[in-house]
Amino acid sequence: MIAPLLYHPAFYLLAAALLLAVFPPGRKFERLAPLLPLAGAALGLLAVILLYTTSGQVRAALSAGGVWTYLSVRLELFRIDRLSLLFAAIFAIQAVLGFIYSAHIRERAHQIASLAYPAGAFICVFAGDYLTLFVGWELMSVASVFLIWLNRNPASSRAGYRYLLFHLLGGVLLFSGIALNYADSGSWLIARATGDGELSAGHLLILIAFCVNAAAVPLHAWLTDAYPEATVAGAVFLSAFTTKTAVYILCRVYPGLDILVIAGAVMALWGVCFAVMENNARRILAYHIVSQVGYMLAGIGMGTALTMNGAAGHAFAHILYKGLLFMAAGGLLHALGTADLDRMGGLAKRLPWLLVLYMVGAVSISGLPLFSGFVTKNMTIAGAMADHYGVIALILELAAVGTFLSVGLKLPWFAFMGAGSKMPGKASHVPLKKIPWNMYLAMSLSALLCLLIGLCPDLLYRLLPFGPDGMIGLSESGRPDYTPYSYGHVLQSLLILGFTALGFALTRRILAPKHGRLADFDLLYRLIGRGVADPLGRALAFADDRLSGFWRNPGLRLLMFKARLVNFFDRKVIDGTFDNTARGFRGLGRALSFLQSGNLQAMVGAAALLAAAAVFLALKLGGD
Amino acid sequence: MPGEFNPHLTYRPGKGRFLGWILLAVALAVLLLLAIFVPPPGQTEPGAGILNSFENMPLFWAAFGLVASLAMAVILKKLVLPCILLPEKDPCPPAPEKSVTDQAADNAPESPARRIGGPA
Repeated sequence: MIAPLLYHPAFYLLAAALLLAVFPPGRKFERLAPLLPLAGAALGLLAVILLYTTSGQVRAALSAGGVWTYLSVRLELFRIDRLSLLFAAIFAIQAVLGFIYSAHIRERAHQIASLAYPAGAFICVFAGDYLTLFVGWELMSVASVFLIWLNRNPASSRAGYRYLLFHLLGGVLLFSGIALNYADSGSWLIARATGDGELSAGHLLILIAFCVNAAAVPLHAWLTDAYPEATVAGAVFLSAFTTKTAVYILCRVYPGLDILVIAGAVMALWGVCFAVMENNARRILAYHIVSQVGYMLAGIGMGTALTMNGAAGHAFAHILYKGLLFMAAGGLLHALGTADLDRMGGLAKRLPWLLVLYMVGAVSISGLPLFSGFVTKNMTIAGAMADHYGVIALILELAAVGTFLSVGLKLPWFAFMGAGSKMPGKASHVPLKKIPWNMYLAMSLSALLCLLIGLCPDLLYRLLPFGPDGMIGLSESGRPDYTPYSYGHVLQSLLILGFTALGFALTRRILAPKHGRLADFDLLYRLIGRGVADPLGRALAFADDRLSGFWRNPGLRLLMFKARLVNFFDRKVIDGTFDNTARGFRGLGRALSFLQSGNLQAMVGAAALLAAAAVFLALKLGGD
Repeated sequence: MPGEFNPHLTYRPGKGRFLGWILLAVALAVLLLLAIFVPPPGQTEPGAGILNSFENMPLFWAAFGLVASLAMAVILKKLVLPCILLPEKDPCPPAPEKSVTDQAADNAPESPARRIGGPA
């Protein structure tokens, strides 16, 4: 049990979190705060690399060693195959990049939450049974909400509560699904749910729970509500783990489920439409998470080897470039104090490297040749075309246009180029807070990885998990039969992006950002919430009113009568007994002190009194 | 100054705009010429469904990019945005100050229940 633990990346992250939690505050802690999380994440990455390099036999032995029977339930903590390894690899890479980005943060709670969050993701990825998965899921939910709350403003507090409520709902759905699934099948193991007939009720609930985490429309608004309110570094972590863990589970359990194709296409288009209209840079990127995860869901729903590999590969590339984009947007927020585009402009000269690094992420997500998005996104679209999903392919291409329009053109234009700003003194002239070097380092490394995958797609393709039969390989290569750099693919991408740029140039005045908040499905959630809360509140208020009325009239009078009775008993019985006893003792005391005074007259008088009493008693008794 | 680009590489409103248009026009013209005169071999993949007929048009993806971006910009920003744009405020405002009736209830004479619990 110990040896498999040492190979589990979550072990190192949780150990680092524990050390940070117990370390006493002081100068040593100040020095340790950035290094310990980075060391934990680096060891986690090393563990994943070791898992990749070990033979299939060693992996099988580690998997077997990771089995733990608890209360006669067989828990598989360490299922290792190519799918879990691919997601573990990108989670480990992004955790290292995230901790480099946040190395200037000394806040203990932030670092602990940042460590526990990817640890939960690793537990989910390597879980072979639903109970272990549930533990990892809840750890992620709890840890991630602190990355929102720790932004410490009223908006982040409220967004964090809404985020937590939504994830608690997802947790309840997941656990109900797990319980129903166990009642149906008698097994806790995570296994493919599609393929033979309809989904069971348990699997349906589990699917809905994972659609919550994958931010499937209309269950997505928690993401666009909460991520922009997170801390600068927290948003980088948030962009990587929650939705992609859901994608991982959907890849494993629900490949080829048709409804996911529709859901994915809707998400891809919904996200970009809102991103085109949105004003806040981090909210634009949050909408693009919804959109890009839509590509992955569509790929999973089609269920062919090419589209499944496209979904897994796109998740890998997406984590890198979306992390880079959130890092750059966080850099803007850090330097300027706002992420609203209508308050920016003219920053290209003042933050030139931030612009360059942002643009690497922007062209990657847009699918420009030579960058990572091109070699992964087009795999899903090509798979859709080959699999008779022409309309879906067209919708995904339309989403690609919207992606380039909003993230590749609109956001950088109005943040870095546009001269207009409503801030006092203009963004191009207000003093900027210096961006720490570690933030630039993390962005540079992310940009290099985006470029590396774009230039050498085989590096990623060799890691892809699904074999030609669409099944997950254990150790053999899942290299897809797809060539990204064909003349046709490159020309098609350049034509789409080039003419989208022309469209932007013609309409950039129309696309100018407007201050305000877009009404999305969160408005519907609040309406539903009010629809439930208002009648419930009225009913409770009515009951409270009636209880108060009862209390004021008969209840209170009864109580007053009882109080008076108790008062009488207290005064007449208890107080009287005590008072008279005290008086008796007082009289006795006085008599004794009188006798001990040494006064002869008093002694004679007392003796005479006693003698008279004795004679009286003798006569009385003798007479009887 | 360290950390800044050569001024020739940075954006200068008014001076670079014309050059930008020229560069964009040249790049798009080259792409169009390539699409028209050197069409990609095997452009239509087997089973491409309804896209077969469109994809064989050499300028399909160019027109798609332009029309889609124009339509998105105009429809979303001109038609949809005015309908769904709300004032920027947190969607769940903090609990309001006490209402006049609540304050009146607070200032009301003590109830018998409070008198019982109060000092003798």
